[in-house]
Parts: sequence; C-alpha cells; structure tokens
Amino acid sequence: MASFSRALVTGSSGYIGERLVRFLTAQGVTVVTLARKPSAQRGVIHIPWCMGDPVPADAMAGVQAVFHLAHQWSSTGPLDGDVNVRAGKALLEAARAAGVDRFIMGSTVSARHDALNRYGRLKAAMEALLDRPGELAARIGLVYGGPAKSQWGVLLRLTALPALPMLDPGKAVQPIHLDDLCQALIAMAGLDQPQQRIYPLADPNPLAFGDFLRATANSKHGHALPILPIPSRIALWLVDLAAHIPGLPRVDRERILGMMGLPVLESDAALAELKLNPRPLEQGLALEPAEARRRLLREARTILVAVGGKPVPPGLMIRYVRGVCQFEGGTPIPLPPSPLIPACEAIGAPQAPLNRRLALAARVIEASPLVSRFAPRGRMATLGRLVRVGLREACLLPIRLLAGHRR
Amino acid sequence: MSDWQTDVLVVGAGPAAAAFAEPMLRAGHRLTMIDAGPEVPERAKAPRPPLEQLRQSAHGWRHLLGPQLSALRDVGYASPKLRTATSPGFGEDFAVANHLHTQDFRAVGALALGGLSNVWGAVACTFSEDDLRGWPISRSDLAASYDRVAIRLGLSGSGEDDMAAFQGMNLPLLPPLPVTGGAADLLGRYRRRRCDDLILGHARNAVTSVALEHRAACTLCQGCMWGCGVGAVYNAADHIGQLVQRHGLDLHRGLVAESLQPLPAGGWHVHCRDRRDGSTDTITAGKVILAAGLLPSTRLALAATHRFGQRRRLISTPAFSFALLQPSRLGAQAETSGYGMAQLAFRRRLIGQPDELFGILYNADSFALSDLAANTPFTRRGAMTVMGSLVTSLLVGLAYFPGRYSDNHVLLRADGELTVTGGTIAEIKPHLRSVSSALARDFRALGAWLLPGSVKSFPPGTEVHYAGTLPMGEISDPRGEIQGAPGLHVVDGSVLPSLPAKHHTMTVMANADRIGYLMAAHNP
Repeated sequence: MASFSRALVTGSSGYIGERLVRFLTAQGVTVVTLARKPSAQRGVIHIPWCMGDPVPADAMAGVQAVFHLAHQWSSTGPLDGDVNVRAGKALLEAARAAGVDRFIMGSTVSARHDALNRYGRLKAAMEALLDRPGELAARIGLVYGGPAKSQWGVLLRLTALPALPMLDPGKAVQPIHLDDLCQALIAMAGLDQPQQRIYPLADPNPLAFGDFLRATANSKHGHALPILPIPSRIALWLVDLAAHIPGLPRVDRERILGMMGLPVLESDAALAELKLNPRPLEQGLALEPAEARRRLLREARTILVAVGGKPVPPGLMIRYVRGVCQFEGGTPIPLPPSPLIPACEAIGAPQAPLNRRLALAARVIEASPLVSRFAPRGRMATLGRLVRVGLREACLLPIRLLAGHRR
Repeated sequence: MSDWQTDVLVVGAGPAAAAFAEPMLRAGHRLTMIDAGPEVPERAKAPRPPLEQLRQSAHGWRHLLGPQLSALRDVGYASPKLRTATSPGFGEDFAVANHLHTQDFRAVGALALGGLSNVWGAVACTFSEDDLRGWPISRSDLAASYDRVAIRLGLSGSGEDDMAAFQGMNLPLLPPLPVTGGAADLLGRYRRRRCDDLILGHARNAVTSVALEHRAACTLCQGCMWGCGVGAVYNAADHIGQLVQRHGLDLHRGLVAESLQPLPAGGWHVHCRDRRDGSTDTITAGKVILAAGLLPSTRLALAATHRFGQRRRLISTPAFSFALLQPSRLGAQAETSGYGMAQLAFRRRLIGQPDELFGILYNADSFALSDLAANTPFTRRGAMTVMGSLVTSLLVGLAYFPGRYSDNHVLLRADGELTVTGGTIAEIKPHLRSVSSALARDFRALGAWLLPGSVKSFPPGTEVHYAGTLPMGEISDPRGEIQGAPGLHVVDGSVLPSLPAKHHTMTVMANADRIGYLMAAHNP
C-alpha cells in the first residue's frame, strides 16, 4: 500500500488528530472524520459519531487507512467493558468488514497490561485486539510542539511557573515533535509490508524529563526553570489537593501516573523503517517566526508601558519590534509584568538585556508624541512631579541594587 | 581589478580633502579623489518641520529615527549624533576596514562621503599665535586660509563679545545664531555680572545664519542632532559634490586605500580595496595626498615609509561633560525655535596652570531625551520623567583640556596593522577635580548649578579631536610631505604638531587649504 487517497480519522479535533488531518489534506488525501462535532477544517467529510455508538454504515466506504486517535478520558470501571475498548473493537470490526488495508491505533509508550495508569492498561488492552496484517499500533512518546493542547498544553502551563516541584526529574522520556509524529503516522499508513506490529514513535535517545522541561521553559517562556525534586506520593497528594483549590492549574493525576510508569522503548528500527529522522529537541522547541513575533509584540507593550505609560500606540510597538530584530538579535527576553519592571532594572549595568530593551523603548518613545508625557507643565507641577519620582526611585533603589547584585 | 593613472590622488573625502581640493581645482589642476563610502550617505530630508512638530506628527519618526530605524541602535559612549545620523552603516566597520586595533581608545571615523562632517557639532575656531608655538608655520601663514575656510564653512558668530578674541578675530563672520532658552538666560546674567575666571560668549558655528549662494540659512528647527535638513550645517559631502559639479573633480566611491608603494621613477602605486565587491584596484599617482582622517592616514604613511614598531604620540583633547541646572527656569515652556547645537562657548584658566580649558554649552532640549536619560542612575521611566521635567532648565556642557593632557600612542605592527592605545596624563585627575569645582562656583554665580554626579570624563578618543602623529617640522615638512617619501603628503589632523583645548577642525581645513594653495602655485 504505497499510497492512499482516502483516510478515516477519529479524535480529529484532538491535539494530534487536528494536525494529522491538516497533514493528510495537504497531501491530497480525502479525510473522513468520525467525531461528535464537525471539524473546523475545510474539505473534510464529517460523519457524526460518539464513542460507544455503532460505526455508521457508510463511514468506511472507499477508506484505505484508519487512524484511531480518539480517547475517552473519563471512563471508569473494568477494562473489558470500557467505552474505549468497545469503540476500538467496533471500529476495527467495521474496518475489517469493509476490507480497509491499514488500521493504525494510537497508543502510548506506557502501554502495558500492568501499567500504573489506566491509560496505559487501556491501550495495552486495545493493542491486543490488533492481530491481522496491516493492523498496527503506534506507541507515541512525549509529544510536544504545535498548539498548547492536551499534555503539551499542561507542560507549557507547568513550565511557566517560577519553579516546578517534580517527581523523579531524572526519569527518562522520549519526546517527539507533533509534526514528526504526524509524518510517522502517515508513513505507517503508506508502508507496503509493515515489518512490525508495534511502532514506537519517539526519540530513540531518551533524555531526563527535568531536562526536557527546563529546555521547554527556556525556549517557550524564556526563563530558567528551577526544579524541586519531590517524592511521587507527595506529588500525587498535591495534585489531588490542587484539584480542590480554585485558581490553581489543574493537573490530572493520570498524567503523573503515566510519567511514573514510563518505560524506554527501542524506536530505531521503527523510525528507520518509516524513513523518519526526528528533529532534535532544540530545533523542535525553537520559536516559530509567528510565535516569536507575537512574543516580541507582547514584550513591546510591556516594555513601552514600563517606560512611557499607557496607552501605547501600535505604531510604537511595531517600531520597537523592528528595532529589536535589527539591532538586538530579535529574540524575546523573559519579562516580569510592566509594574514590576522598574524593580528589576539593575543599576550601572547598561548592557543587561532588560536595560538594553528599556533604552531602545526610550528611543522609540522619544521620537513620538508620547514624549510630551514627560514635558514640564509649570513650575509647581514640575516640582511636585520631581518629588514624586524622587520618592519612588528612593524606594526602588534597594531592590534594584539587589537585582544588580544577582547578575 | 582595474588600474588607472592620475597626477594627484586624494585619499579620503572629508573636510580636509575638500579643503585641499578646492584651491587645487580652482587653479586648474586635475584631481582624483577616492571615498570609502560605497554610496551617498542618507541625509536628513528637507523641508522638515521643527523638532517639536516632528515628534507630534504621525510620520515624524521617519525623520527622527530614519526610515530604516537606524537611530534605534545602541552606540554606547559615542556622540548621540552618531546614532541619529540616519545613514545605515555609518561609522561601522571603520576600525576593521582601516586595520586598527584599539586599547582604551575609541576610534571614531566614518567610511562615508563627507567623513565625520556628517555628524559634526560644527564648532569652529582658529588657533592663535600662542597655540601654534612650536609649529614650523606661523599664524600669518594660515591667516588667508582661515579667511577662505571661514567663508566656505559659513562661519557664524560674534566678532566682538568676550569669546571673540579667543575664537579668532578679523574673520569674515556671518551674524551669530540666536541664543535661546537657558543659554540666553545664562548669557544675560553673565553680561550683567561678569566673572573674572570664566569667560562666556557666543559659540562659533559652521552654520549659515543667513543664506549664501549655495547654502540655505539655518531654519532654527532645533533638529540639528537629527541631521540638518537644509544644509545650513557645513558638510564636506555637499562641498565635494559642488567640486565634482563645478570643477570636474574625479570622485571614485567605495575604495579604501590599503597600502602605498613608491615607484623607482617617482610617484606611487596606491593599492585599494573596493568595499562593494572586495576586488582590488591599483592607482598610479604622481602625488598622493592623504586626507583619510588621522588614524587611516597615519597607518598608510607609516607603512609607506617602513616605520614599523615605532611608538608615536597621538594627541587628543581629553574631554568631559557636565550638566547645569537653572532653578529659575524650572518648569519653563519649551522653546519653539532655536539652533539645536552648541549656542555658547566658554573658557576657563586651569588652576595653577598656564593653559586653559575650552568648552561649549548646549540647551539640554537639543538632545534626545533618551540620551539624557541614559546618563542617570534612575529607572528608565524615572529618568525620562526627571529629564523631561528638567529639560528646559538644563544646560549640557562639554569641556576640553589642551592636547598636552592626553597620553595616547599609535604603533604600526610588522603585519601592517595599527594599534592605538588611549590614555591621559596622570595629573589630569586633580585638575579635573579642581576645575570642575571651580566651574561649579563660576556657574553658580550665574544662576546655574552643576548637577552632582554629572561630571563625566569621555573615554579617550570619543571626542574625535585627533592630531600629532606625523607632525610638521618633525616627520613631515610644512607642506605635509612625509620625510623619505617624496610626493606623499598628509593634509589632515595627523600633521598638526600640537592641540590647544579648542576644536581643531577649522585649523585642519585651513592647513589643508594652505598646502593646496602652495601646491597649486608651485606645480603649474
């Protein structure tokens, strides 16, 4: 099966499914989505389906490959009767009945019958259903990149914290970029004669989970992430506690259990067969140009407000961003919120990154109508303003001295 | 690779080159000039509204920052004019292209048509008989050249106030530019209550206060620091443009002289590199006139005469800046028009010394607020607010010590690279302390308070008054001809044997004009 022209995707509104559908349609494949809600993507045939319902009769017509990525997270009870297993079985049988050549089941590196988390055990049970040629399981590693959804969304939120308590930061993970994963899945569907039944799709060289998170924090949020190792039991307890306190980021305990039970898989052979060379983590985490520009625009607002106050005309933000791109390397820097910036301005360090950006903002403001915000307005008002600024500066001084010292 | 021949080749296209070329061309000589700038530097565009209107208008930033936003780059210690020069790449690569290595010295230069006159503060004064002590030429040798250069510069200033004698008498001066704001206040108080030690008066500016044949008059738009939009501030690029048009000057762009090689039968080979494509050209010239700016000219001349490994003195005028607050003006409205560079000049005797400090005073609102703010210990917002509040009641002063207080050296390495080491004589510190407290006293009597902590020494080289590496009477003759290198003349600051505290540009130009005249007369 060297190529295929019609594919069916479940879980098409999910983190992986959505990107996979985009990849498939871009390659001219007609995509049928089985889902509750219609897909937002154009050129996709939508057939309404709820997991657990019978598969609609016409769904498999003409389909050459099925990607089953849907998962129902809230299921409970014994594995045999689980909605995920039942839906997987129903889909597989429908595919077999329609003579579909390839069935690819989205699975996980933690798929084991004795996995710590329910997800791993469920996936193991579903993998066991695949017993004919052309029925393949994709054991997917730690997926990152793309939109902040699913587990990647959680990781992005966690790495934004000033510090992260973490169980077993040395635990090995095998990341894979979302785009590489989609390519791998499509390559699996295109294999003439699959050499294996289970394809681990993950970086063959594992790295410590703590290092992965630090790299993510550094690249996506621009800060160094201190990691405080904590015992897993306490972590689970904290996660449970956090679930009851409004306003805290919610972390599913399933995710934690999934991490604790992660095995390391040999993925070289699978990747070689799929002719896929997954990109290195640094490259995968690099900011996309649009993302970098959005971050720079956000930075422009923060910095310009810190120097010149509100409101900031959009023209100034654009000039600031152009200036940073031309003369300051074009990379956004980590920033506290505008009101805290003065406290972080190191004294006598004009070359500190924050101070350079503030100086640039001052040059942008100086060449704009905003400069009149600083103009003198009569003797007494000017004196009053000087006294106010003097008091504020005096209060900030000790904090700034400390900030400069830390550098 | 292209080769060509010329009788006289001028290396460089700045004020000295223009001043030398003018009399030669007028006498009918053919000249070839090479300029390191690959293209005509972007200049401020006319007509341009006054500074305050520019800031308030939606598109004013194009003038203030340049369409390519080149004014947003960080230039560290150098003059804010360097940053606001709207030409991209101006001054960049100068050290690299000219094989310079600096230590404790900031080598400022411009690989552009017009050279540093593109960012000139336009302060111009003449040297006195005293200032020329030890020179192989006298004041009278320079007198006619000073007159001609004054006319070409469009020199404006007072011929009768207290600073007139010091800055040069009997010159063809245009009326002084108006003195406005805090500077006017200070000058008014000075006239009512003279001090004995501090002498104050109009600055001499190479800025046309009235329209001339080829120059418009200053429009008092206050935007000098962002480049002159009407050409009222003298710029050698305009001058050279006229020489090309009126006298057929043969100008070649983008060429940097790499080395000179004497020919057995007389004359020189000048090896040049084309900055546009990296190719090399060889020019055969009967005479070579180095006017490339002190550092490049010095390197070429020392290398041409194999003066490797010799440490030579480089004179500069150690400078410092300070800020004066005029409490009586606190909260004053900003002026709507005025000249935007140094309006006043002063001099002050150094305590216990035979020589004097020379200085100039700017109204602080001539500067970009962001540059003023950069010199305070406050947060950026605090600094902008403080400086914005004070800008109409603040004067910024620049003061210069005479050249003998500098202690810089150049040395040509065996590989042809020039190392420049900067410094000042050790005794300058106590003099700086005593003279700044003296200035504080003097100015306080005039209602202006020296702001604590505002006295800042410039790092060596930053003030760009360089001289003395190839002094006339020692290594060059009075016509700038280098000993042992017949036909190789240097006409820029390198040949001035000493520097007083005054700005030397006008003297560099007058000397180049003098040499041009002599050469034109003796080689018909």
